[in-house]
Amino acid sequence: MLPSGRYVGQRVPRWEDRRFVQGRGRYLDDLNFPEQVEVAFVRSLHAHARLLRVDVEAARKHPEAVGAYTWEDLQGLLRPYWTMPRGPIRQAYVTPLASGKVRWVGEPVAVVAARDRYVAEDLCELVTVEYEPLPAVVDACDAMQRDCPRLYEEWPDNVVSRQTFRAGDPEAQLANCAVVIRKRFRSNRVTAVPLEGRGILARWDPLEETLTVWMGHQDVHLVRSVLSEVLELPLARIRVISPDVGGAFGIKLPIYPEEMVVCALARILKRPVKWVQDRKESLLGDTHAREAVVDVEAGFDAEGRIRAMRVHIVSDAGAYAVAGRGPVIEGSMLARELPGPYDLRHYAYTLDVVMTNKAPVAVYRGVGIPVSTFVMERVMDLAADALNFDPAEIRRRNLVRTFPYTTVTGHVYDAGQYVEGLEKALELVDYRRWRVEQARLREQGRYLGIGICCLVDATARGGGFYGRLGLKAASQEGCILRIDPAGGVSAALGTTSQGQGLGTALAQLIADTLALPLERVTVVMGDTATAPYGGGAWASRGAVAGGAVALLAARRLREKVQHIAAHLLEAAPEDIELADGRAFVRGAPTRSLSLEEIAHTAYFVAADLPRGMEPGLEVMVHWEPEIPATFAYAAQVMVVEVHPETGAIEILKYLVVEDCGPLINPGLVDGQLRGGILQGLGQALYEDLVYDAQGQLLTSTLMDYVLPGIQEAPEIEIHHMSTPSPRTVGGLRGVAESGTAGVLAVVANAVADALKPFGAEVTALPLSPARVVELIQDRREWTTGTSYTEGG
Amino acid sequence: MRARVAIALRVNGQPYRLEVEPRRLLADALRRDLGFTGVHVGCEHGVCGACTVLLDGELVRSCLMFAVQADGCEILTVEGLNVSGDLHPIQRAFIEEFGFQCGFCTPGMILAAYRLLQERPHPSEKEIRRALAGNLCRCTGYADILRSVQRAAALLAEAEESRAP
Amino acid sequence: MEELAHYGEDAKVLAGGQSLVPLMNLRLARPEVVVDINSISELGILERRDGELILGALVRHRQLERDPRVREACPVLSRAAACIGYPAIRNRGTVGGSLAHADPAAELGCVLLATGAVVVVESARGRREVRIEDLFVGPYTTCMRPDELLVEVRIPAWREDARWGFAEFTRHEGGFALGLAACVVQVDGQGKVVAARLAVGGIGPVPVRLAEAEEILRGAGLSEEAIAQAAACALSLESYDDVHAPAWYRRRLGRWLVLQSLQQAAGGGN
Repeated sequence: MLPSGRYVGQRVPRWEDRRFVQGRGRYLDDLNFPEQVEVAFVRSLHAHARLLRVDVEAARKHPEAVGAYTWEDLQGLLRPYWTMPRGPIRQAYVTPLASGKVRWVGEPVAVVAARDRYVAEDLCELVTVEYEPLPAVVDACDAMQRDCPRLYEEWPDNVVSRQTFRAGDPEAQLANCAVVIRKRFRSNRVTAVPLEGRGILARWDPLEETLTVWMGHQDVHLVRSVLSEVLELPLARIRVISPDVGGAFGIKLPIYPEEMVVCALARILKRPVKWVQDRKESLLGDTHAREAVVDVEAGFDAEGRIRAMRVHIVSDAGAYAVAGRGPVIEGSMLARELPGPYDLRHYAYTLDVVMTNKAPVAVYRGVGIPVSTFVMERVMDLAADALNFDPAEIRRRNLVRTFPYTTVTGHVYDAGQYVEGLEKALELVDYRRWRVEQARLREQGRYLGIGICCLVDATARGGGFYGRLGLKAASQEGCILRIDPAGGVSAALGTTSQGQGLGTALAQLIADTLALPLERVTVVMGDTATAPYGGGAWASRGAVAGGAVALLAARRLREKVQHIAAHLLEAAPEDIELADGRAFVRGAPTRSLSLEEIAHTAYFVAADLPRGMEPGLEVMVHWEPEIPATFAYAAQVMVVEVHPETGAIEILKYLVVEDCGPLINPGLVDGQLRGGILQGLGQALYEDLVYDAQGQLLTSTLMDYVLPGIQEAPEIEIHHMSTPSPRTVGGLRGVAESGTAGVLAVVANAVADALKPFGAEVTALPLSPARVVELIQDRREWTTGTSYTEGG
Repeated sequence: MRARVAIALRVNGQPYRLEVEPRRLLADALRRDLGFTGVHVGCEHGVCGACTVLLDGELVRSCLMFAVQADGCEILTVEGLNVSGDLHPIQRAFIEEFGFQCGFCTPGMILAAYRLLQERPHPSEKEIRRALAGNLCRCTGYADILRSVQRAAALLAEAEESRAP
Repeated sequence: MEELAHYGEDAKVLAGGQSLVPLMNLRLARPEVVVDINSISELGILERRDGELILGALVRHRQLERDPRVREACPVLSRAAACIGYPAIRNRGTVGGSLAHADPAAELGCVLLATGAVVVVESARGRREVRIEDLFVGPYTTCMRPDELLVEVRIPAWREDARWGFAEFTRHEGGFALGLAACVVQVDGQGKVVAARLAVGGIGPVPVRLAEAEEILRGAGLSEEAIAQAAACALSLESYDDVHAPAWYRRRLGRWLVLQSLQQAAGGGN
């Protein structure tokens, strides 16, 4: 149970983060050392080519150059790398500066150092590179073929991972189904675009032989581990500090080649070395995500129950496996989470994760689930169409109702109210009224559509999720909680925050458990020197894992405080209450001690402590989620009007019923949901990373990669249900990704519903205006000169 | 090694003298040469709005101007809103209404709001959206930013009232 | 002028910077020399002369949007200027800069085709006038020579009997338009169209007038059929594919936009 008190459950504003409204946040690029050098990278112009020659002499000799380097210059200091040595993934090695071959446009080929970035970029123009272009493979389905050009010539083909799974007997079931939906779905390639780009500042101390690295990152311990491996430096000699981070969303989880190179340069130059990417580099080379082709065969009986599903997923991996995450997770999660919140016992999949000559793919908010939800929810609507059911009804018939429920892929939905959540959403949105409205508008030649989506989102991965694959990303989490001699409380955790306000949420938990004012709690994260070994921010684990250890530690400290107070006040520990930073005997409030007094005893007069008690007021707790994932649930409903003339989609209503268990801070939770939803809308309607046949990225600026602004943001009505998890501390579930997870589905379903009169097939994203018109145009005749009376 | 130009400008009420290369962007001069790291660079092509400052009272993209163009000009960055130490009502509103998450777009948003509220102390939702259309945010989904500006308008109106005789 | 004459191709003029500087930051434009004209006050004139609206090259979009003289002298221009980018862009972007940059999807080029305009261009060799119809020769390309500077735009006097319309469609508010349409139509007391100028932008490599459509409207009234017929002329426009939209969509969009703008003109109230 979460503590009850002044703070937990309240919309507590982030006063301790007031620096952000004052422009005093400290992001990576705000840090500068007087003697630092800045670097710029020369990048591959070809998507696939042999690298014949990289000549940096002219750059190196230039009077303003501090240095210019190729892989040859760095290979003594850096090891090539790949990821997940024990995972279901073919191994290869890549070098952080290209050698022998380039495999994607933007791949770093050389690096130049100068006193500032302007000069470094000038010097890059003096570097000459000779390429022998090779044919590029840009489509993952094509890239799978055996006779296709291979990115890694030692492999028989471009498939970096093939995974299969089978439960039950899907073929037999499908043969007996009343309706079988066979469709191919496509999800487009997008990237997170946090407003603050990536960057790194590395400083090597030649006397101590230690490396200090500043990097806006989600998991500082992971960075340290990877750097230790590639630089062949003992872990203890590396310190990684993440300052304020301007958004991350998963793309600041890998460790990229540029970052490795900068660390090597720091050792060579013995000066601080800094690199900050520009937006073009970000679109070119931040890990991309979500590009997949999913072929589905799903069988339903006459009562609308899904009986079996077989899928083949081709997940586009890009050109290499980034350190720290790799390209396989997204496809794996898509495959394993596809059944969603529905009762399905016969399921089989084949997953092919395929390398292509495009930017590397890793993890982006939702990781597979936004796409799996899109597919499953479209399937539900298609089945509803085929069987003449209302889309809400078919979901009612398939949602899991009895808990705990173990899915065919081994996930445990520990508790939930999935049907209730859907009903609540339908009621709050006034579903029936919208159907009436839809019919009315159709008579006027206007196209209203209602999209429904039910989803589960896997959060707070446990069970050594990455550790088993040989990746040093922790599922467990740690907290060191201390009451200092002045009665202040400080918590150090291995989680991190890139805007989620996690520090506030954790402080709320601690403050209420110890019954003291919020301002007395300080939460420190993001520095390997002070953070206990934990996992950072991923899979929406901040509140679940961070909250767990903060709570467990706070409870332990509370107990200790009670025991000390009891001892000093000559009462029984059970009779000691805490309030406002004091411990007092129940019923006799004058018999009390301040935390400061208790701390003083604990630290300086330990002889006065109960016999056998350890001095001090500091505890460390580590905790690992005992279940592979904690599932949040949401039902989302969207109402749109589609304007057939222009293909514009107007969102009239967007409502979400969300169940992430108890809320520590509704303000923070709603913010995560809304932000996640906007990113999902970005992919559904606006964003698309487009490569041409030669592997050139055509959308490499924000003019072409269109992000939704405030004018595109619909009003999103959010309602919460709380089904606590019996398997986490405090019953918490993660929430940061479940907004995003449903958007592709709900938009696609709403548009398909709107365009039903045209029989439009909605199976691909984004639903750009041109694509919407194309969907309609396929089915409707029009002739020049006809008068159009539709609005829009 | 390259020719530098001397410029004089005022930032947040204080005079500064700088010598800059002609091609140095205003954003870089403000951030690196003068230490106003509240000016953020998110794209360098004028789309995201994170670099927004007020130049002679009007919103501009500091990534699309050269520092030399600011010679003789008066610049306001978000740091200038609470030089005295107390939070400006707009800043307070953004905290109260959860108008920021990572904080990177926040200075630009606040300045856009500031400029809007100067002209329209009681803006409609439509007017707020229009005024902030050029500032991207990846974290909040914008609803809380909208509410923050509305709250800011209310706080400023309160402050006005309490000032009136 | 001397600087431009001296440097020719190696120099670029800096006015608002909203188009040039992004290109420079991306290192797609790499002029040796940037000639900053912002302090040339004569280029900032905004006045009416015998009904004509005279705009100096340095008139900012913001002024077009807000100055009552512009709203009076050329309401369609004022309306279109309000759609250019965002406030921060409009504060700096200039008339001269926009026209010289010749983005096919820019509001000004399209609107001035609909109003008619004469552009005055100057160099060390002297001044010359260019009709707006002749200014744009290709995407991002004008007929101006490297040593020439656009100094002024003259827009003909607005007529009492003129009705106007403007429509644009963007992927997202303030972004680059997928298409634009503007019209200025003179209607006599009987509701007959005396003269019409119809322009679309963003559909093809340059903004164009729809001569065929103008022909259809002349002599007819602004009836539903006439408008629909005129709008359909957009379907035969030259167009192109890019990441945002294919050519067939742009043409269709063009038709819809012309329809919208003509309906506005027919509706009278603006």
